[in-house]
Amino acid sequence: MHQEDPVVKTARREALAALALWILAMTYTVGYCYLYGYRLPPDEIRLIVGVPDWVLWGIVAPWTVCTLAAAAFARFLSDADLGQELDDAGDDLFGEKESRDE
Amino acid sequence: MSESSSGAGSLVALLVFVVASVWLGAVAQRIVKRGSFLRGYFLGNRGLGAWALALTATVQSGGTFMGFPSLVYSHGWSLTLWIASYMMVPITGFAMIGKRLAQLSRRTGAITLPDLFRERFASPALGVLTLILVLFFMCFMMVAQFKAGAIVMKVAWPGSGALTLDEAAGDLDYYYYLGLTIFALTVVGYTAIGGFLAAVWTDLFQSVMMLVGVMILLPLVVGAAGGLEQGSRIAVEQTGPGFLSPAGYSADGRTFLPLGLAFSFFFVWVYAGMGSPAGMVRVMASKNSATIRKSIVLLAVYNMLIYLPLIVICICGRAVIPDLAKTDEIIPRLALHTTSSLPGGSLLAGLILTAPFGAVMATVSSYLVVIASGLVRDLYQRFLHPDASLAQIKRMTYAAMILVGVVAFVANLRPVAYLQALVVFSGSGGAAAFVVPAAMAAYWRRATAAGAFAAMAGGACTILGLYVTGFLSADPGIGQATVFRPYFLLGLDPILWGLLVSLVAGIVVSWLTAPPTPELVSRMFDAPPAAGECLVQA
Repeated sequence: MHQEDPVVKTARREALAALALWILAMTYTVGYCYLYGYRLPPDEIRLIVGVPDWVLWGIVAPWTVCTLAAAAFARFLSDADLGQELDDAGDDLFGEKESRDE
Repeated sequence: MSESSSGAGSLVALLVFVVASVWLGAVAQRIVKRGSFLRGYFLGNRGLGAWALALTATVQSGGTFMGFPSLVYSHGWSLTLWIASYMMVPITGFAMIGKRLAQLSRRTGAITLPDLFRERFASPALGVLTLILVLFFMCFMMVAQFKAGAIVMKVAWPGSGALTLDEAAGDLDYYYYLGLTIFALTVVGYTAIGGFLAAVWTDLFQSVMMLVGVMILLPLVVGAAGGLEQGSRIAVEQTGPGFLSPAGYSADGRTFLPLGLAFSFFFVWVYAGMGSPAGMVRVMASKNSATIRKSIVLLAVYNMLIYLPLIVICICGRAVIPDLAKTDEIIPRLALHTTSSLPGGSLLAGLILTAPFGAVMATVSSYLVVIASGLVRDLYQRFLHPDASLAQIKRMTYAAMILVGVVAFVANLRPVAYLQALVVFSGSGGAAAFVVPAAMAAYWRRATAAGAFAAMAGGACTILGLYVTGFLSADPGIGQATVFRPYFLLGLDPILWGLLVSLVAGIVVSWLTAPPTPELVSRMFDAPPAAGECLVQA
């Protein structure tokens, strides 16, 4: 019967996409740091220009990708009319009061 | 180079900063006067642009500049993994529930978070529970921030012993109280004058200053350490090889970040950002959906420029100032230390010092607004005095802010240790309480008021229970060294258990209770009648 607002549908889809990206980023970063950071004895960790290699490939690299992904994601999001303010709604306690006072 | 001249320059810069914030508060007040008082004062008439939304809506607490650097200094490169989920915060923080939150708050006319839940589920009880939880978690955060503000002021003060590394005198001296007083008066003052917009604008101004501070400090500290390579090596010599490991170095042999906690922090920052009441209110205040999209990009770039350089700064800081007893002071001390020999260095130090001070002021002012809006709109206006006049409401608003300021001031006469532990506690609490109910409100037609209530209460009680248990039980030897630590069930942070309990409770209780009325669901989810025609055209 009902006609669901298209904003709800796209927002739901975008939320799932964001959730999927988050799971992906988490799996990669925690996975990489486990394999190349946690499993090594600390004195075997290599430094690349002063940065431990697990930081460079496990964190700096995906962080860069995520920053680019954010730009792409922002383009993929759809714009939507968020609707009008309920100015005269009875449940806006204040709306009535203000007109009386001023 | 005398200590006092360094302090004087810093003090000048800090005072300029304070004056600028008060001026922004005054400008904001003029704009608030144009529209409805409550919506203007507490929500900026829903006119936030992309920059304001991006740089102020997610967690950027004083913790960023005080607690976090202190942890990097103490535990090393491990903090990159600890903070890594900030790479996802721009996307998750705005794209998961942002658009629907902005839409629902317009449909319901909600000004505050309690308003929103109350109207969305047509449940006054849910509104009250939201109010109680918002006040509870935000008060913890506020108290932590006041201490941070006082410390920055103290370090900048001439003659406070700012450059000495001997901490034997302790922090409860005359300068701490002076800093605390000035800080409290300023931030409560400008926030009370300008409300939400004052908080957001000073927050934006301060976020930009933070970036400038980090960018100036980065070359200075890396230079002082003789490059990152050497800085890293000296830091390892100062500490041990653990300084390079993801598990982290600890002077007392504890494991700072075991794998389970590393995994947990991917939940902590992502959902703490999303579930923060101050952040949610800002999304509600955003101008339109294009604003939300632009914010994602701006925040992504900003986060990358802030957090990774901060880590580099503090790693090198360990090499530059090796034996700092009060690690919370690392950034202010690095600023004073690295600029002391430069021409005009004192003003430069002041500029850098404004960054942490700004971060703390911004956080406090935004929480002040949320707490005061809760007290005035959701408690005073709803329950105590529904017929209050505009003048009474205004008076109550100012009184509420002053009251909160006084409470935070008094709580900091004997400050707590470890800002960051408090930040994590209230962040986790907010996340466990509000994320699942907000998602249910946004996307699930079958969600019921009882379900949302159960999700909120279940999540909050889980966090609280695990923190109380942790407080009473033996130190497990993982995480931060603090008495204010949670119980890590199965080695995971309470936020995972909180979110899980919240999710299960929300779904199960919703299914067990009668479905919401079709009218309510339709009002929240369906296209308004006029929009149907637009659809056909599209």
